[in-house]
Amino acid sequence: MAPGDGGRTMPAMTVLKSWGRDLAFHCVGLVTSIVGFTLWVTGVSVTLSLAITVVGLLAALVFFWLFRWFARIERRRAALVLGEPIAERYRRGQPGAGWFARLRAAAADPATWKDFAWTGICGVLGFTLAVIVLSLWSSVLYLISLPIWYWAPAPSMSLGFTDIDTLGKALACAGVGLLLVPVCGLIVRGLTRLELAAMVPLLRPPRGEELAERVDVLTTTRAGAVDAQAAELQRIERDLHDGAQARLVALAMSLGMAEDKLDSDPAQARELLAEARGEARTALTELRDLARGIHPPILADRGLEAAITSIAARSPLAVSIEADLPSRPPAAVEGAAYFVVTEALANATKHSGAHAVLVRLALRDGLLVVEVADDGSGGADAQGSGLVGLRRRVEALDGTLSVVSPPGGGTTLHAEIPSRR
Amino acid sequence: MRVVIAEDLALLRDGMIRLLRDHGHEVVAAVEDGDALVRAVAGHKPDICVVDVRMPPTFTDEGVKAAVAVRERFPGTAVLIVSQYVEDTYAAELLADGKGGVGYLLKDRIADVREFVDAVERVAGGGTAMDPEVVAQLLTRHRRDDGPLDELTPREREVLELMAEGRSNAAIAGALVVTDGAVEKHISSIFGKLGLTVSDTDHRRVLAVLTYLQG
Repeated sequence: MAPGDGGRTMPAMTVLKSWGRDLAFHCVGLVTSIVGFTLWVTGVSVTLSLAITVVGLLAALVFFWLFRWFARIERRRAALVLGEPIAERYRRGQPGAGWFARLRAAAADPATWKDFAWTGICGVLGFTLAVIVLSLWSSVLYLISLPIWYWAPAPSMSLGFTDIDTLGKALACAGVGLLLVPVCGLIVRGLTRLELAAMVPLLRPPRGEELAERVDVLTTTRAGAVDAQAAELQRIERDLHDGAQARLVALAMSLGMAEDKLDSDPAQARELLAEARGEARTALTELRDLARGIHPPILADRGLEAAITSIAARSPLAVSIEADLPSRPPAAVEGAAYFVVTEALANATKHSGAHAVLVRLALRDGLLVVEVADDGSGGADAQGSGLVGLRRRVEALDGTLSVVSPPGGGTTLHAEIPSRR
Repeated sequence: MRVVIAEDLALLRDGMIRLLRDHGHEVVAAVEDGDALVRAVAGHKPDICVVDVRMPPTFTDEGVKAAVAVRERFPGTAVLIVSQYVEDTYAAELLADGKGGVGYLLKDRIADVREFVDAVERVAGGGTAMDPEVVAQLLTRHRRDDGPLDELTPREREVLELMAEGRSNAAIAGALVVTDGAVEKHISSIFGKLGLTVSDTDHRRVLAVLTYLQG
């Protein structure tokens, strides 16, 4: 659950939830800090004592791995208060490298040493804070529950400076306890922030590497987008060359022959003219289809649902559409989603032998989710040129595309495209 | 005249077959790709092949490659390339062997039925038929600065350009609004400047055009 999810509920609920999350964070922290402390002390002592031998190096590799494992758990623990785990990023080792090469790579990665640092710090700081937090909350809980203890057959109760010997005192303590709840909540909030302030910088990948990784992703997806665009242009050129352009040549040829025969054989000339008209009509249809394939006017005018309803109506398959689009995504996103659906429908018609197709469109958490599922024979090739082109188009918008197509089990295309402006 | 047609689009292939048959030519084979063209030429020994540039399997320049192969293996076979676009590189490849009997036309020209049939007949007879587009593109290619073409007057160039398209003297005279006699004078001057001595008039004509197109 993300912080701020309670935006629609009462603010008091939100505050209580955040205190609850803080408490959970420290409860888990009590356990992990003990594990972390043990791990750190063992790791340092074992590795140092074996340091002069090869075994020491092996031990170091094992402990690097264990610290990494511990850091991974800690990143998830942070999700309890941050809403999402801290991002994890290590330098990629070379596949098939020997253990020594791995050790060197791990030792050269600053993230390894940060994991090591946090494992140690967590053992002390995390543990201390967890004990304080648990003591605070249990004291408050104790005060609030005093009237119950008072009724229960407890031998004697003391707060140190006074004995609880009357119901009035017990109730007063409970009142004080209730008043202390927000104080305690705020103190714990502060302690949580303190721990996060130490934890997040150590466990988060450095900004530079994050950017470098982003650059890698962008470089790949941009190259993919350029390829996809080139392939698309080539397809359009091919369609024009073999379609409308060839029709027009044939049309001109028919007209030429008709002209040639006008005097000598008017009947055949008339026939040729009729042929020419047919070719003109077909050329127009092909041009229209091509234009629709490039960017259908209805998509720009009426949006995704209308455009997909329109192609569904032309499809020979039984296409049902479930759309939940409260607002219109940006044009590029609509375009990509439209092509996912048209390509999926074309594949279903051509290859799968499907009878029915279900198209789902939904706008969820700033993501446009597009799903096209058919009941055909499955076994689609996810590396086929059509699907690769689609994937590149979707990835260029930072989206993802997955294909599930078990033989005999139908094909489902699932695309998610970020839709924020 | 015996013709082999290589064209993968059935619509256009059938149109050309009908058109050539209507004009009394025999289409001995109509094929869909370059390899089949070479086999058909080997089998039928046609007077001319009419070849589309873009054919299976790669849909790029199969037709040109096949045409060059045909001319290497069966010298004397005339080739007329018809295409929906003009690529001067292809024309240059065809002209590279310096022999006549080649043509390169946009498919648009087929609409002028008589002109198209004339072009087929002319190329089959060893002449040339270059689309004005092809000529224009070839002329914008790099040319030698010191070639014999530099000596031609602008008017002579115009005449040669029209000759490259395959026009007759009368047609050239009509296009330039001069008399037939003036055209003949320009042509003999061109022959002189290009160093083509009096022998077979038709052959000189083709050679002049080839010199012109190859820059």
